[in-house]
Amino acid sequence: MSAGMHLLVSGFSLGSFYAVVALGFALIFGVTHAFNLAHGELIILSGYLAYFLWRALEVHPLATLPLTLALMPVFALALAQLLRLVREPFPMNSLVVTFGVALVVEQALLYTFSADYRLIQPAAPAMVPFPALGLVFTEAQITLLALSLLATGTVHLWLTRTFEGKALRATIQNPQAARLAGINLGRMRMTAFAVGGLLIGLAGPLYGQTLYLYPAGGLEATLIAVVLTIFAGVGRIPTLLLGGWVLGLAESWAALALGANWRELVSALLLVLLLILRPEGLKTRPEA
Amino acid sequence: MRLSPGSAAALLLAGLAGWPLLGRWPVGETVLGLACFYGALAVAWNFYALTGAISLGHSAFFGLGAYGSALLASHLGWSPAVTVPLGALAAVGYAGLWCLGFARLRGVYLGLATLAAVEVPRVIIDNWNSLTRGSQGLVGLPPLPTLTLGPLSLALGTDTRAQYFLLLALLALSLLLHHVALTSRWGWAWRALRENETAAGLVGVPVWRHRSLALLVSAALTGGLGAVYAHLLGILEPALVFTLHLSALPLVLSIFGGRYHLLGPAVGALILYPLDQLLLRPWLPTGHAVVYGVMVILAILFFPRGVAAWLERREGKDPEPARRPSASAPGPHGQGESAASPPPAGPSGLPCLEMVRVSKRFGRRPVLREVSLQVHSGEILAVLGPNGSGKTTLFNLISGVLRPTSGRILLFGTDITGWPPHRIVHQGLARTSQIPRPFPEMTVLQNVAMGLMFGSPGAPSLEAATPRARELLELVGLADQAATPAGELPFADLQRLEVARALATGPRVLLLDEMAAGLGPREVVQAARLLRTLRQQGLTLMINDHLLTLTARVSDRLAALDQGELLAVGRPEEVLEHPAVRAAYLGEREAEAHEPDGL
Repeated sequence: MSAGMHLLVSGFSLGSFYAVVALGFALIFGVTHAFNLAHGELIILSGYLAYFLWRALEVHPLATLPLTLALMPVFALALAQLLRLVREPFPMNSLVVTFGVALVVEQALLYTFSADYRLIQPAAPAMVPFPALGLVFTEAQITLLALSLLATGTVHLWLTRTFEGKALRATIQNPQAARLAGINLGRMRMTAFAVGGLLIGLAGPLYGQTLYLYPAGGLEATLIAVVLTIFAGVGRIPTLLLGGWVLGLAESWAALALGANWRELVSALLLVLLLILRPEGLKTRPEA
Repeated sequence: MRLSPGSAAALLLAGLAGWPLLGRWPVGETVLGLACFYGALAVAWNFYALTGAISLGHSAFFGLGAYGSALLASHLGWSPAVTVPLGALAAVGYAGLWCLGFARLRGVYLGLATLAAVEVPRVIIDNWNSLTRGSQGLVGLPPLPTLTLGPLSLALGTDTRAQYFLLLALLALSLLLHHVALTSRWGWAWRALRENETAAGLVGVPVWRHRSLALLVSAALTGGLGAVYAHLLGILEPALVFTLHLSALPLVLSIFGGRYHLLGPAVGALILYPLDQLLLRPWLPTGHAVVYGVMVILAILFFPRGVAAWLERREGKDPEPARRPSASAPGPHGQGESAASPPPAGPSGLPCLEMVRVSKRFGRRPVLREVSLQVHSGEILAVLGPNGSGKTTLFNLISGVLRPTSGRILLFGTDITGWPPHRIVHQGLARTSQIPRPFPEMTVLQNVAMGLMFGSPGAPSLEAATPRARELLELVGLADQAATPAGELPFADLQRLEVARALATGPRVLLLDEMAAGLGPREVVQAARLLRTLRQQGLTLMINDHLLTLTARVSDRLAALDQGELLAVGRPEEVLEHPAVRAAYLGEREAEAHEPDGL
């Protein structure tokens, strides 16, 4: 496989995964206007759960999904309850509170799982050849791409086609008008956190198969979620996927051209540049 | 017993200095020393927080200070006495980039940018192996030199007691600077920025300069502390300094201790760090730092002003000087004689403020279209228009809050297009805001004093500004509320405060935005009297209103705006009879026959 094709494959699968990472973050931001800095740490937590289940029971990595999908919404809903206690100025205070939550989760992970780097990597990774394209994928790459696209596609259909999803979009775009239209805002809030939790539950095992897990690793995932959310806005999933692919390709290119360690710089630099170009950040509503 | 923050700080430092003299070290020497160190770090972080910014990326400065000093010391063999200040300078350099790059970022978005900005120096230092040896790190850094003070010789490199006094001295230095920041003229500027940034610009505070100054001071101290840390440790690697933990620690300690109190950040460190190290760590070797996360959550949720503010309230509150028993009995509202003023002048007919084909669009939506208007010296010009006609936008453009999409604005013949608000204030133009923008936690008197301190010519201190501030409060009828926090005033009083504060900046042209909104009939009469008084004192006034209640009483000329276009300018009776104006405001259908492009 040529270096260029390798770059494309890893860029697209990584990018699609980044869209999943950002989607849960964006939905929660959409209804609460809280930048959840604990988002990445929760994904790492989900990844650790998958890692130890996989090691302990020697099951297929994806067989851990039922557990993470069941547990992570519980954590997300607990976070929702915590954020209800936050007083004005809400955006700044919720940022600091979720920063605190990230520190707590990180320390809890350190205590439970130690500081070692972990990767969910079967001893003999299954290879899937695609002779027509002249490419060979690992099974992890295929599941990463397929599950990420499936998840973003499902959420997209849910948001655009179902009653519940449309109500959530209405809440994100204009909470006052949504309330006047009879939408229960408290329920929408819970829905967003629950769906966000499911996406965190999905992202954890995928993260553990793709990137190294370590207690402080959540920051990178959080930065990715922030940069994509600011780029795409809330609820625009095609744009989110596009942003994910650009980021994934840029990271893969940086890793290839400059060295693996420079990859970490890409999302941070993109975030800084994006904020410098768009200092007002995200506008969920047009200016009055 | 009531202690001023300054004497409390002196007592605290004296106690910490006397601690080792009690004989053998009572409790963990290094723990207390490091608590002082992290206290200094929290104070350093707090300088930026005083302007209202929350940085999530101060480990960038800590790491750059450490690496700057360590690289110079290990590659060039220079003494730490020289390299530590140079390390601080490296941090200041990076902070300078933040000042330029993040100039327009605020609040949450600034926080996110600072979080990401740590990664840049971290990844570069981690990968520049030839210079920094990457993640292997630098070893064998030279220790701090021995300091000789007369007969006293402090071996900072080896003697732990000497090191304790060094760390204590660093805390004392940062507290001294913190004291200056809280009480000096620029400290007031920072507080104004924190309480309402737009209002700070409108009273003449150079917003960018002060935010940058605060960040540079903060970065210099943080970088210096990082450099000292590197030499105390003797080794350095990216994972030791560019960490989330080091970005979080000063934030947590400062918020927990109290961001707006002289001792807050230091108290946070002196409580939490020993708690963490002496109580928690023994039975929770990994994960003991969870205490910082828990404490910052609890602080934000339940005591956002921190422990220091809580103690202060319990001791008996009122850090402000008590309300002075009014020496001069408050006179009737609207007395203007006491106010010092330039010689009275009537309308002179010369334009002092001129708009030339000024347009403003928000996205694709035009809000003002090619408005050309002159305001003559000494007149009262009223801009009339229904809601949404662009009146407030016009005021925002003139005062520099917004920048026009095209066109020019001239003030006394000088082109002020695109100037920041504070420069326009210093050029002699002030404004009030339709939705009042008080500094909510300052008293009414202090609000007005801000205008006197940062307007022109600019009073050197709060005390120097106080007499004139009282006069202005009498003028607008707020003398009785001088000691009330502005956030507690009712709406009508806030509008008077806006006028007093705008006058305090020493304007020659005053813009009054929707002054009559929400006023009762009696208050409109008072307001009209105030406007005439101001004109007699030589001020040029531009007012805007969507009702005729106030404007009809006082204005020399009217300018009618509708949907961003200037329909007519002239004497009130002419303008009100103008067919386009009648069509727009009164909805007279027949007017359309006279004026084809009326509506």
